[in-house]
Amino acid sequence: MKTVLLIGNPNVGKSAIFSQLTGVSVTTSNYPGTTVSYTRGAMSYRPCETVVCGGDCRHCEAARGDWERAEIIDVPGTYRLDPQAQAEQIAVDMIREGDILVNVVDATNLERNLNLTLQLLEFGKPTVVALNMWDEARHKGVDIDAAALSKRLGVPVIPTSGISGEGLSELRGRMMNAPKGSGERLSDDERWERIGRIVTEVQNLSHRHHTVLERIQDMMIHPVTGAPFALASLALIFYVIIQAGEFLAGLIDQLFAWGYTPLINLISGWLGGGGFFHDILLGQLTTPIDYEAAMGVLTTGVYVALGLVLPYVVVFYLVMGFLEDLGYLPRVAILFDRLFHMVGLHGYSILPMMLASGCNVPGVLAIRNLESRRERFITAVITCTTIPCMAQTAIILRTVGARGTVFVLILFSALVLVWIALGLILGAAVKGSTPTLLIEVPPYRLPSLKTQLQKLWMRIRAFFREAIPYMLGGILFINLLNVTGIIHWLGRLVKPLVTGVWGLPGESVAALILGIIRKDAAVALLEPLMLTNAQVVTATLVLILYFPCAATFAVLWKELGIRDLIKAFAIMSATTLVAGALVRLVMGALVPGLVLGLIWAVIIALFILGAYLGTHHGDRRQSI
Amino acid sequence: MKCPVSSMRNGQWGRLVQIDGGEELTEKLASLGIRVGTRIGRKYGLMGRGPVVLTVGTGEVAIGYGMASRMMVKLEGEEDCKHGHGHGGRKGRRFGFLGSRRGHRGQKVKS
Repeated sequence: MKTVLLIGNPNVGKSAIFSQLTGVSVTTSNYPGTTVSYTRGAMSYRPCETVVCGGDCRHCEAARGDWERAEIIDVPGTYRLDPQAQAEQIAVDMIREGDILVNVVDATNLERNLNLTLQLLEFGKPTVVALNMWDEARHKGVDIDAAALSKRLGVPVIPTSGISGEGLSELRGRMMNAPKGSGERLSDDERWERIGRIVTEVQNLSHRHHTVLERIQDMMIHPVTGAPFALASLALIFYVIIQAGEFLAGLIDQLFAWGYTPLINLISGWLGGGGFFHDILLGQLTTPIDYEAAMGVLTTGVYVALGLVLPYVVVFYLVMGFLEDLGYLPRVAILFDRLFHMVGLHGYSILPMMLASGCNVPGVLAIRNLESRRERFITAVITCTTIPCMAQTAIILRTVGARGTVFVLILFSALVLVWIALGLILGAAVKGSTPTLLIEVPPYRLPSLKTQLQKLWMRIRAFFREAIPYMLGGILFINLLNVTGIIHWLGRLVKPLVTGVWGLPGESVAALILGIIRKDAAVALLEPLMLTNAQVVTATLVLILYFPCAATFAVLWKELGIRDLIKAFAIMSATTLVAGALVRLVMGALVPGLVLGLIWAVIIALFILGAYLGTHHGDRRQSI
Repeated sequence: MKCPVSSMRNGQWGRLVQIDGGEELTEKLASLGIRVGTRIGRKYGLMGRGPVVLTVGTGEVAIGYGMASRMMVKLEGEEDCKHGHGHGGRKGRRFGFLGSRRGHRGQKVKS
């Protein structure tokens, strides 16, 4: 079986072509020993003689042989083949092993894309160029003479559109007997010089007025109009996610009650209804089974993973996948870059944080896409500490909101304050570098449904493989602490802290312990304790900050490693201790309105400090 | 008239003449189609020392402020760039959004 490699710059519509060429059997794998992932699939084709059918095999049934299958690999997008960077080294390794190279080129950005094309030709492998975004290029007034380009490159150049499917049948037909690349090695300067000549010869740009879409596009990234637009669209996105996530969660709840409970009861019978193994596997069973409180691996473990986390993950991945392919995410990263530089990060760190506000688990998983270890650590800590997940936010709005809107405002303002304070401290303390932002701003493109679904499916599969085992492990760990009584001992240990430092009643320790499994349920548990308004704000803040839930904890462990996890845990504990005590103090001394004012005064002060520090140390932090 | 990309005015165009950075920066920029000799236009900068959005060829690229201040362009047209980094060293207005007080970290501009 031949191996076909799809290679191109990022944002050239490679995935759309990939999903058009492949069927359903698509898998994502990590390249051995790395976190760089790539996608592979299979394509059926019938080899045809180019000579006979002139490229388009639809017209030459007679000249074709039997059906054959080829493997297609979607190589991670790369701008160049410089073996120094890990992702690029992998691309080079794959190219050496592959049989046929399909270079996907963005017709609207020909000059830049040809750099990779010429580097690919140096390998001397059978090569075809797919001149993608052909339809868009025409709209933009970019006219490329594909035949002339083909002549200059010495390999076929086929205009395609990954979204509409234009040109793909020809691409499929031509790739199997593509001519080999020249194999000629060029220096960087020679290559750019050649590109310059080719582009002048084959490309013709005609001037054209700005379309309405382009004006909207500009508005969305413009400093003045972009930020309100981003906030409004994020609010809308969150609303959609809460609604759709709750709906899915409801469905899954019903499935559990209908199909899973009988099974659990059966297993419980086999295990004799009690004992150590029963407690570990199934926990404390009630009728009907309380999946959140049972604590067994097969009950609470499975339920937390599938019933609580999965629904939001599905909806969130769907929405994020759409925004990603639409081209909005890079714009959000650019808009927030300045703010994030203050805390030693750059704009890309907003993406894990956006995910985390749905559920911290996918947020933590997204952290690995950040470039440096320093960025990953800071992002992980401030995300897990200050960003409550969707379920938690919903219940906070209900319970704290019942006390008065001002308390909700105080709570979330306090989170903003902790975010910026913690970020400033970590940004100054954590060694290492944060690379400067350098990204292209892709034009908006309507994503294809097939690509979207394929992506969603792959991500959910990855979630099952990478997150769920760890989540089950996390529940098992906590259940072990529970069964052995360590957790109650810990509870007694922290009680003086809870009553003395935060001024909360001793019973709230139970809520803190439950919070390890499910923070939102823990917030609800505060309700019957008859707390004062100040205590509610303090207790809820402590619950958000103190410790990530078991599921997040488990993936955090996996992503950071044990040493950084312990550091992160120490930072979180210290933050909770200080923030809880401060809030108690301030809430006890001032009326709510003043508290809110004070918090914002401090936020603004830190903001100015951050801008000042950023001005003076910003460049030292950036590595270029 | 030379000036760093970070000091160009929105809507100004120029040709890149010099990149004050290591090989890695030069290569990273080249992979996005930005090389010495490339004609670039500044669309806008975000929040004073925020990223700068440039028009390059038929596409757009966003560049962090630190990087943008290391890239020198020869401006088209007569208009000077911001912060008086052109010929006369004229001290221009210096109130961007929070913290652009020091202009360009005192970077010397050869012209």
